[in-house]
Amino acid sequence: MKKIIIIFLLLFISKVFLFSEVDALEIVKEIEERQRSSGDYKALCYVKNIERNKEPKVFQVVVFRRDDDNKFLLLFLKPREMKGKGYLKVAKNLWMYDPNTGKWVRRTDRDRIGGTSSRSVDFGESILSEDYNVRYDGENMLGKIKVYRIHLTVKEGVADVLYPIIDLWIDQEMKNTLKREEYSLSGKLMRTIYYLRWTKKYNEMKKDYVLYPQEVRIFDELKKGNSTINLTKTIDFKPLEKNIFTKAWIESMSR
Amino acid sequence: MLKLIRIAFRNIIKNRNRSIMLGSAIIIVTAILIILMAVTSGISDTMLKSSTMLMSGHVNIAGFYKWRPTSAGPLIMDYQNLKRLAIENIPEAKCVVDRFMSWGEIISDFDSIHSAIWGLNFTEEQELKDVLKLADKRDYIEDYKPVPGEASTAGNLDELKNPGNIALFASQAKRLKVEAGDMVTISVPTRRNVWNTKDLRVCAVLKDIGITVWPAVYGTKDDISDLYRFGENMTGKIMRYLKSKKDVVKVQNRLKNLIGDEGYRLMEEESAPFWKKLDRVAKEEWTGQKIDITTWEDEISFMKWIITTFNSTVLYFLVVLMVIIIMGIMNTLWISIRERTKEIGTLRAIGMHRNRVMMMFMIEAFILSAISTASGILIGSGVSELLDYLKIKIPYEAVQNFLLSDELSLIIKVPNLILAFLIITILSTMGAVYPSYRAAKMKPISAINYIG
Repeated sequence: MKKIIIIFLLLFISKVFLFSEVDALEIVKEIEERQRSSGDYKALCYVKNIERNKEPKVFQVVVFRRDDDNKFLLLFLKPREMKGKGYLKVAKNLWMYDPNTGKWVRRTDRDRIGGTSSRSVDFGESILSEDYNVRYDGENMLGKIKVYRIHLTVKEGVADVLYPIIDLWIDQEMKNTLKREEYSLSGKLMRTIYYLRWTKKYNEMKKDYVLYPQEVRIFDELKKGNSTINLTKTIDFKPLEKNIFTKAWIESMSR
Repeated sequence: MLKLIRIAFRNIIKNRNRSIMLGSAIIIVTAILIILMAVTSGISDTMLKSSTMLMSGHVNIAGFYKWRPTSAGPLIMDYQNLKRLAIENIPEAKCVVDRFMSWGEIISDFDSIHSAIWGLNFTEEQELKDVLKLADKRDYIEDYKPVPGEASTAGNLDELKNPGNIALFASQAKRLKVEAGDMVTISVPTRRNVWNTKDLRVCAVLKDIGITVWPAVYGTKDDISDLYRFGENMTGKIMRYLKSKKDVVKVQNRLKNLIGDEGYRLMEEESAPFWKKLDRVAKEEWTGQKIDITTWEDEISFMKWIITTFNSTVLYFLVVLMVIIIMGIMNTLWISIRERTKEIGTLRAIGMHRNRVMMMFMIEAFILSAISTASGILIGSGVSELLDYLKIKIPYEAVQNFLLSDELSLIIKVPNLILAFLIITILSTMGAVYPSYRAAKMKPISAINYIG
């Protein structure tokens, strides 16, 4: 009798564990699919950077993406002293252009965009399901909202992901990410991100809506008191000029 | 000749006021030169001593490892074998240590700094321990008020022997607002380019040494290895300190042959610190390991400008002062010749040869210069010794960084004293050549009839 109970128990645990993992991965994939924008992408954003003991700074930036070709461009429009500064990423190579010196410098994804708590990945396409192992960590409440807790750990052999461990809080009903915690390899909390507002826009090419976070708040957990607010004002899926993801195009913007 | 020396002496004593004035000028210039030379020697010695202990061995086995063609790290694999080679084949070595060199962000509850981080095995680092000193609490704690009976320093550098500890310099501790016992977080990207962090306890706050170490902190090899997820067979640099710096080139060449014979790939010789090579190496196509045998001069070559600048400044001062002195000597001798025109005429009339007249004035200038320069050297040496003994604190951080020390250090070197004596005496005597020549050229009849 004891043996039967143990066998049933083991079967139950393995079943729960197995289904949960598949479900978690599916949830992440579903979220990424809803956020995926086929073709080109253009967004006008405001970035507010708050650092302890310093005056807050607000930047206006425009983000261009062509995810199918792994191309990304972020260009500063305001304030005047930052105008023309840009980040260009083609495949895994990221460069930064400084119009004051007229020089290009090779950077990594670790680079703080304009000295803020944002990284280039915060404006790019989410590919968590490709780079991370996904584990379902159960249900929880985030305020009054019922959420799934999902735990991600970077896959063996995957390089160039900034944070090897991520925890997600996903709205059970809307299937939107509400909170994200990013950890270092040693398990120290590095950033906490709150996705305060999600909105959607119809994409002709995708023949579906594209979901995007309208307001994101990023808290630097190492440097307490430092945070960044990313506000996406407008997005556009119209085809972009072909030469837009080139160094020459960015240089021309500051002339 | 003795007669001429006697006459020259008598003239110096007879024209006491003029001699004292000119002699004083030479004494002052010499003393200033000696002090400047002592300061330059002090800076040079402090810099070399500090930098070789803090940043480089006399000869180093360094190099780069490239996992991918686009990235490089200042690392050497299989370091135990290389260290064994160094120990077994370099009898000139005083000690052999190995360290990790890295770069990261150090974060406290109040602020953060980017800094070079040395990972070391402190039990091997007796020489380094002699250079590092605990800082006075006043140097890094704002508004610190000493409590009677309480030690002015805090922390224990020996705790650096155990993982989990870190030693900061006073200027860094001040910026981060931490003191011994506080925790800081080190944040670095690993070789897989993911973030890693480690919380470390500040075991000691060290006296600032200058730009040789700033910005740099000391942690343990184990912690740095764990932060970067380095393997057990990896290190950053094997540093060998030799009994005599004269053996550097000999040891460097021997190591190149030895390591080359062992089948390691060697980098082309380039006199630059590792961080100046990093960018170029990262752009090269090769992958794997390349060993770089460097000397202390390569590793601190970027700092040579400090000594060059200071030496140039001293030289500039010396030239200006010497021009003034030569003009003074010429002027004094002109006056002397004018006052003694009749005497010259008489000496010529009773049969003194022109050359001897010229020699007489030259000897006079030489005696005055030699005595004054020697006095200047004595005074300059005395002042330098006194200033060094007083260990005068340098109040400005910028000057501290420039001088690589928070206190003024002056070192008197005998070759410098001999050099100063020869330069000033010869140049001052040379200043008398033209007036002496003019005196010797005078016709006896016109000199006797001269009304001055």
